[in-house]
Amino acid sequence: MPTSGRSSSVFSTTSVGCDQQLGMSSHSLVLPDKGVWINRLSDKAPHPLDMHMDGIRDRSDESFRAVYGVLANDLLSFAFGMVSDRRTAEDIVQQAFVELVRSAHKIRGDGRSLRAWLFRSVRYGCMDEYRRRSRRPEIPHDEIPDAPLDLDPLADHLDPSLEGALAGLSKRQRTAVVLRHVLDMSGDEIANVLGTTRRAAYAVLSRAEANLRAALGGEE
Amino acid sequence: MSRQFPELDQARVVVSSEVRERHQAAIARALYLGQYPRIRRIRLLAVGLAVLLVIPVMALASDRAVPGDFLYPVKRAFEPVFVLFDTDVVEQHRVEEVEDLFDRQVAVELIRDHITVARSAVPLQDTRLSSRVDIIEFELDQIHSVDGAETTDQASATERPKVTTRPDEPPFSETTTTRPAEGSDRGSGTGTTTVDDKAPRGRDGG
Repeated sequence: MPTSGRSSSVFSTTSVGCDQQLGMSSHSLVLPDKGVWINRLSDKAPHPLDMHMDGIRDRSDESFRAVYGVLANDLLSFAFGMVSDRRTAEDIVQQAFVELVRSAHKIRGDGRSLRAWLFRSVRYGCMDEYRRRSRRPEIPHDEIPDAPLDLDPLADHLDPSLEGALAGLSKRQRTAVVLRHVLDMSGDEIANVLGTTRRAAYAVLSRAEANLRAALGGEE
Repeated sequence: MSRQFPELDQARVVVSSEVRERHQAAIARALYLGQYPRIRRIRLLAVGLAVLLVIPVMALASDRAVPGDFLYPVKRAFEPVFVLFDTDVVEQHRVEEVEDLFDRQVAVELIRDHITVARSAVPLQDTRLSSRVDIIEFELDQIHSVDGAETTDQASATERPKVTTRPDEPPFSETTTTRPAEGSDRGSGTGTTTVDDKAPRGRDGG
């Protein structure tokens, strides 16, 4: 399940002492052998999903429907921006919620943590899709249009020029760009999804923007 | 809307109603399945498969069971199911059991008891089955009248017992084929007649 790979916590991060580095006044809880769970946002305003956390842990159908209603569009947009195929993106989002059901009893934290958990789950689903596509190489042929092999002709997909520019980014850069410029996520939220620090997330984002600008600007 | 990259706005999509329903159905199914942990589901499936496999095997294995066999209760338990496919399966089973008991040469009382059970199961008008029971009963009577044996393993209808007396003479157990020892008391003869014509000289001698 979505973790940084360095901790067994569902919401694991790698930034021990991050709040000291950034000088943020954030809530932090040190869990022995579980890494550090940090609510990175400094504001203590309740999240719309906070009221559904207990229902999620209890596997309440009503709570899952409510969470789906709040996050489905954002998750689908994120997946679509990552895989450029709407049908595949829908399947990835569905799988993320199914995984949430299976992991419901292990869910900790508040609504923000749950949101980050779902975005990480979608991101891992997109990574799996990339690996699946890499195992099926394209066969160049003069009579076949120059298009990715796995695109479903009946599903929406991104403009080929945009897809080409995004394909030139690394997976982490593409994630940062989509989260920032499609979903307007903050640096903290992007760091939560990437499983890194806020500073590292901004570094990735900066490089991604520069590369994307060059790719899109070069095609004009 | 992104000011730096307006091209990315096309990635901003909305879930259609059809997709929403499909997703909700998948979530509901996952919630339902989540009530039963995977291991428990596997165990239930394994038990179900074992039951489905064992039942027909036991039904087939118990087909030739007779009273006293380990699977005989299983055979009787499955008969209501077999009746659905063959209405006179109960009568056939009872008759076959009588025949099998006779072939196995079990105690006569057991065979006769089961003949009674078979006759109560077989309708009087079913001459085909009742005649088979009659045959077994007749053979039992024949065996019992020959040597008075209490078990069929001492004699059979097809084999004549190795008797040393004629049928109208005293029972087999009262005869002897041994010769009196020489020099024994002459007056202590058993007074029997044997098929052995070699009589001790002492007996006929004087």
